[in-house]
This record gives sequence, structure tokens and C-alpha cells, in this order.
Amino acid sequence: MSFNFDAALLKKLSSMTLRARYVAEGTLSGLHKSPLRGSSLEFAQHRQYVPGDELKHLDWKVYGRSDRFYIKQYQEETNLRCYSAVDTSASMGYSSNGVSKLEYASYLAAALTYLLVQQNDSAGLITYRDSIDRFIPPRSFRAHMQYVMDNLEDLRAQGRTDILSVASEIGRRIKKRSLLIIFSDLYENPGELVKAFKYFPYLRNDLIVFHILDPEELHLNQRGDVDYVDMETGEALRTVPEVIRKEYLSQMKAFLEDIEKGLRAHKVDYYRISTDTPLDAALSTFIEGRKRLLL
Amino acid sequence: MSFQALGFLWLLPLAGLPVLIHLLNRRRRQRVEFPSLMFLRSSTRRRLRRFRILQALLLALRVLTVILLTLAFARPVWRGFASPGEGLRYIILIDNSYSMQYRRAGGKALDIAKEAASAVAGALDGQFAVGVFSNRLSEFLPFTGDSSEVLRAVERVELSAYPASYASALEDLREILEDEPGPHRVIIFSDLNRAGFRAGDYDADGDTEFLLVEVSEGRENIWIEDLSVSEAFAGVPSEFEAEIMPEDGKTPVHLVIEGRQRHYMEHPGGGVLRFSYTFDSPGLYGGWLKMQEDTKQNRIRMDSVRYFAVNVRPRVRVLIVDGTPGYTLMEGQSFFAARALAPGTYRTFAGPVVVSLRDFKRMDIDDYDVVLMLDAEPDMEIARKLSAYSSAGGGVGFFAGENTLENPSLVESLMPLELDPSRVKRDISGRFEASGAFVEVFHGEGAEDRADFARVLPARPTVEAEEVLSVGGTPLLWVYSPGRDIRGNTAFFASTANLLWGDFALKGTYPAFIHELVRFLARPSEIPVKTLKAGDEISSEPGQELAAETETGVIPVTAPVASVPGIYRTVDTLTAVNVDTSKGGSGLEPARSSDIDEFFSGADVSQVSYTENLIPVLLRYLAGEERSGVFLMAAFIALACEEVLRKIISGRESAA
Repeated sequence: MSFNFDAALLKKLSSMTLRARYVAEGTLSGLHKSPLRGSSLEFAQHRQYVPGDELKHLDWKVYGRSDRFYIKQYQEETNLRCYSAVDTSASMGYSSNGVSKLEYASYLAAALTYLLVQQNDSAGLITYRDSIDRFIPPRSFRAHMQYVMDNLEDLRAQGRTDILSVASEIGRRIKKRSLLIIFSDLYENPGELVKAFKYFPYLRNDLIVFHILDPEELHLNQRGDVDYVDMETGEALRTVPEVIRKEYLSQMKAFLEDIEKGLRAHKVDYYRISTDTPLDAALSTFIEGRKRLLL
Repeated sequence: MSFQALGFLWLLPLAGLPVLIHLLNRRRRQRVEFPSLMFLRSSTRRRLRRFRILQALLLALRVLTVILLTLAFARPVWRGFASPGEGLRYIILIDNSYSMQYRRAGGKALDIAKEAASAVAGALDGQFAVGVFSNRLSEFLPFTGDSSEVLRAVERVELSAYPASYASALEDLREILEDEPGPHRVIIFSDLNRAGFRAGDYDADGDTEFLLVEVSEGRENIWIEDLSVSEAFAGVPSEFEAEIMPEDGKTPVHLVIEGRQRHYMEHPGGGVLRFSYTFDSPGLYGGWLKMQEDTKQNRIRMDSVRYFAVNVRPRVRVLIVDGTPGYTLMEGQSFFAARALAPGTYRTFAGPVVVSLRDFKRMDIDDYDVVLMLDAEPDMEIARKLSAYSSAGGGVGFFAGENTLENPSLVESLMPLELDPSRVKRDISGRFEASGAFVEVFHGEGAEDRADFARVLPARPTVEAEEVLSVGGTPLLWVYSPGRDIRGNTAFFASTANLLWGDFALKGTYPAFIHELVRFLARPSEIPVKTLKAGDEISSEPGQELAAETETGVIPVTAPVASVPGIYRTVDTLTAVNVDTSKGGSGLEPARSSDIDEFFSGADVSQVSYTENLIPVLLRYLAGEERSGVFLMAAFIALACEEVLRKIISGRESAA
């Protein structure tokens, strides 16, 4: 049985926790393993020893039986620190289908938080515009999850974003070996953006970027003469979308490709998601992607 | 332009509808918040400007379509020349200049003009006057409302032999209309040749409107521009020279003399046709040179015939009196003179007879036309004889020599000049001394014609004698022409023609000199011939009936004006009358619009050019024509353009 975890439908659910649970549980039925792997208490598999491996992980019993060195690998289950960084600038408030990019990002962040806490991982929250607004450190207990959910529910899109300066601030504040998940529409120069994000992997942080876009941004289906107003700057532009669509889409495509290419080149896990994509599908894509990455 | 359904013009403001819709659409512009203008701005910069231009064009086309459709429904009518007006009066002017004889498949230009004029008179309401013009306004029917009278006047118009002059004709018309109330509308039916507009200036008044109706289109023609006949002597070939135009024409020509064809020539081309004809006996001869009619290019018959009148005289009898007959060539002055006048067997206009001075005294000289005294020693008897001869009209020429100085008064009694013996130097033997001062050069046409004069007799002319030749400042030849009723012509040549006095007699110019001198001295023809152009007055006795002998027959002419080209025989002369090709017509150069504009200088002038369907076109022009179709067509074209433009724009959108 499949469920349609449509963002607009979820919006009707009363609390963020309920929404998160609804998405996460539906998505993760049968996917109980964490897509994030490290040292763990639970044995996962053997692999052949290579020089440099720690000797404490050698399986002496296997050595006794087979006279070969094998290393024990364990599945990490609880010790992941994850920060969800949600862009709350005014542009994230755009919605052409009832669900704004910010709402969509919130649902996604909530679902991931729920998922992590359910697996005894720590989840935190960062909200930012041109600087960090809120910084909630990751914790793994349920009351903390509720606190994160409450904060996610309380988000309002306003102000201008400056992800370049925010990125360095986040870099300074999060702990090493953490997972950082950024939810943003990324309206920045692709080169600058990649430059700002590429340091996270160097600092042994795992960086995942959810590029949230509205279908209208991707297709520009508006018709007639339009005065477009920039949601962040208030600047207006008079144009005819039908006329400029081809040019716009070509520029947008180049922009998206530049970002994806640049981020992937620096081992940043990049997911482009349109707000008309069902949340479970988005989440599944993410989990499948992660699993493939870690195999 | 006027409209038959004026009410529809009230719909013209509908043309503002597309603009209004456009403006309303602009007001209905949506205001949309968008996350970022990052790509919208650059895309707009690239694409929108061209789109706006296309949109503006589309809007203009829509406005134009509405306007055109509204105008089409209002049934527009182009204003006709004959649009109704208070007390409108028309003047039909028909050009009957000879170029209106131009023939084409549809008929003569004049016939087309008459047909078109009749159609106009029959179709329009109002009062008409009818004028006929070429170089003047020759006939005029005053204003009348009786159309049959007008049609009869048009029908009576006949071709004239004169070139057209619009200026003279319109000035004549102005005088006639001086007391007539305006405004007038003048319809001119003409071939509109350029020469007609350049024949004079005209100051048009602002009260008259002109409509020029071109009744001929072709400009192809050949004609004889000029024909000259040399002085004719019986039995001597007379030289004819005809200028055939245009110069590359090669049309055969016929020479007709006294009604009989004498010559048929294939014109070799090159413009000038030269030929000779020998008149057997003296007398008056009339004739014409005529181009072959059945050639395509010969469109105007009147200018392809050239009439001539010629008086063929008997040969001039010349008596050469040799005062010093010699036995050597050096002394042979009469030998050279006689040979120059009649070289061998070649028959010239003059028949010379050489006599000595002694024979001259004894003979009767009345039968001779000219007496040449070559260094003859005069005496009183000779002087009396020559004086009587000169008084009777005979021509006397003196060639000076040493003998002439023996009795200068003889020459002086016949010529109004004084010989000056005191200036003559003589040598030891008493002969005339060669003096450097008298050695001059006679310049002919070429270097080989240089003649050296060793001796020239000094003389002082009186005012009556005309010095016609001198060499290096020294007078050489005087002529005197007191009038044939008083005395014959005389000439004095201050040297002689033997080789002791100079080598002139050996030069190529000498025969021509002697011929010219003899022609001057010879008795003139008693019956002169004339050449006139059509329209000139011809001398005739009062009451004498004039008749023109033409290539088509004899045409009586009532007035003393030679109005018809042909040969006219009057009491005292024979006259050839030709069309005046120099005033245009034959060349058939069409008037340029600048010529017409300049000629009418700001007056209201319109023109209907020649077409095969001239009359329907002309009547439509006069009455005006509904042009709804034109506007509908234009509206459909605008609609089609609009559709194409819309597809271009929507094509861009769909591509996007």
C-alpha cells in the first residue's frame, strides 16, 4: 500500500511532530537501518585486514580458525550528530501550489529529525537568513525532538539571505564529524556557493544540501504581463514570462547544473527537490542515495 | 477623396479600440512576488525589447485594419476632375499640330483626341467651349450647353501643319476668356510633346484647373529635317542634300519633280543623304523628296515629305578678255581662268569664251552674263562699252596688271575705288617691281593651297566697295553691288592670274575662287524661288486663289497664309512650303513632368496618361471612382500581416 505524502496534505495535520512521524514512519517501513555508517556496537560484517587498520578490531577467533586476518565492522546506530540548517529568508516563503519552500523544507527537516531521534541519533536545528537566527544543538532525547519540531513550526520567511557568510559561521559552531543538512533555494553565485560549502567535508563534516525549489521557479508557467517583485529586495521587474521563458529556463538549467556539479565535485551530497514532489518520495530518494553512497 | 456613406466615418473612433484594450491589459498587469529576479532580469533584457517592438507593430496593424475597414464601409470615392461644382464650365482644347498625325494601331492621335473629347462632352454635365490649337488658338466655339453643337465642333477639327505651342494657345485662350466668369476647367487633348512646352512661357492663373490628356504614346518617327538644292543650271548636275532623322534611319526616299518620280534611292544611313539631278532645260521646277510610307517608323506623314522650289538657269556665259595674251604658260592668265571655269570635258555652270582686246572692241557682248577683263589696257571706247553693259545688269570683273595702271580711271568709273599708282615701284626696265611688301601668302584650306603673290596693285577703296579678301593685311579683292536696277555687280582683283604675278592660278583654291566670283557677277534669275515654312504669309495678288501642290494632290488654300505644306505657284515666284520641324513634333520627345510643372508654375494641373483604354480611364478620372475595394484589400493585407506577426510572436512563445 502506498501513501501520498503530499506536502499540502501534511500541512493540514495539526502538529509538526505528527507530520514528521507520518512521513518518516511511512517512508521507513522496512528501512530500519541507518543510512549512516560508522563504528558501532552491532556487528555488521568482516573485511580483510589491510595495513593501517587498528589491531583492536581484528577478529582473533577467525584468525585462530582460518589463519587469516579479518577486521570486524560494526553498524553505528546512535551516535550521529545531525544539524538541520533551514534557510528562512523571504525567498523561501514563495509558494505557487499552496506549500511554500520554507514549509516544505520544515517538513523534510522534521521528518529527518524524527527519523534520527527514533534511531537514537542526535538532531539539532539551525535557522538562518543573513546570519544564524537560531542554533539548537543536537540531542537524542524525545523532549528535545519536540523542541526542534516546535521551532520548525514557528518558522517565518523574511529578510535577505547571505548563505556565504552564514556557512562560515555554521562551520565554526558545529562540532566536527557532524552531519549538516542544509535546506535552501541557494540563490547565490554557484561558484561562490561551492567555494563556501567545500570546506565542510574538509572539516570531516558530512554535508547534505537539499535544494528546495518551487515548480514555478523551475518552469515559469506564469502568463500575461507581469510585474515581478523580488521577495527579498522588493525590486520590481516588468516582463512577459511567455517571451522570456526559453531564456529563463536555459539560465536556470545552467545555474542548477553548475551548483550540482560543483557540490558533487567536493563530496557534498546534493538533492534538488521541487515542492510538488511528495515528501515520502523526497525522503526515499535521499535515503536510497545515502545508502548507495555508503555501500 | 469623398465618401458616399459618410455615416460610417463615425465608426472611425473604433480605431482606438485596440489601443484601449492594450492599455487596459497593461492596467491589468499582475503583480507577482518571486523569490529572485536573478534570471528574470537578464532574460528580460535579452528578449523583451524585440517583443515590445513586435507588439507595437501588431497594435499598429490592428488600428490600421479598423481604420481601413471603416473607410471601406464609408465607400470612398476618389475626387474626379469633374466633381460637381457651382456653375462649372469646361473648355476642351484639341491639339491639331502636325505631330497629332502620329499613326498607331488605334488610329491617328488626332482621331483619338476627337473621340476622347466627344466622350467627355457626352458624359459630363455643364457648359462647354471648344478650342483648337497648334502654334496659336485657331478656332474657338464659345460656351454652350448644347452638346450636339460641341460634338460637331469637335468633329470638325482637322490637322494643321504647324508645331504646337501651348504658351501661345493658352495666352490666346486667356484673352478670349477675359470677360468670362470662372472658374474654368481646361481639358487639353494632346500628344504632350516636350517642344510644345518649351516653345514659350505661360503664367497660369489660379482660377483655372488643367487636365492634360495624353492621346498618343508612341515616340517612333523618321522625318526629313532639311533639304537644300544648290544653284541649278540647265545641263549641269544640281546637288541635293537632305538631312534624314533620326540619323540611323535607312528609309528609301523618292525624288519627285513636277509630279513625276525622278529618283528612287535606298538611303544608306548616316543622317545626310546627298545626290545630284540634272535639269535638262532652264525654268522653274517644284518637287519634293518623300520617304517611303510603308515603313513602321514613318508615323507622321507630313514631316517625311520635304518640298523644294528651284529656278534652273541657263549656263552662265563668261567672256574672258585677255589684255596681254602670251605664248608661254607664265603669261597665260586667260588660259588659267578659262580652265578654271570649264575644266576639260566636265560641264560646269559657266561657259567661258576667251577673246583678245581687239576682238572685244568689235563684238556684241550683250549675250554674255559676265565679262572678265584680265589686265586689259583700257581706252574710252572700251570704257563706254563696259559702262553700257554694266548699266544693263552685266557683271564685270577686273584682274589688275600692269596695263590696268595705264588708265586707272576706267576701273574707277566702274568700281568705287581709287587705284594708287604712286605706290607702285618699277624696276630699271619699267616693269612692276617685285617688292617684299607685296609678297603675301594666300591661305587656302590646306598648306598646299598657299599662294604667293609677287605683285599686288595698291588701291584705296571708297566706302561702297566691300573688301572681301586680303592677304596679310593687303587688300586683294573688292566687290561692288549697287543694285541690279542701277548697274550689274563689279569686282576688282588687285593681282592677276599669270605666273609672273603669283602662283595663285596653280592652286586648288583658284577654280573655286573664279567660280564664286562669276556667280557673284552673273545676272540673277529674274524669277526668284522661295522656301517658307507653313504659316508664313505668301505673296500673292489680291484675290488670287492659292493652291498647294502636295504629294496627295492639289489643295486650295483660301488665305494668303501658306497653311498647307506644298508647292505654291504665284504670279512672281515659285514657293516651297514645309512643316517647321525645328519647333518640335517630329522628334516626338515626350514632355517630362518637370517641364509641365515648370510651364504651369504652380497651377492646378493633373494628367491622364495614354492607355489602350483611354476613354474609360478618362471618364473614370473625371467622374471619380469608388475605391472601397482598395481599402478592403488593404485591410485584408493588414489582417494577413497581423496574423503572420501574431504567429511569429506566438511561435516564440511556444518555442519558449
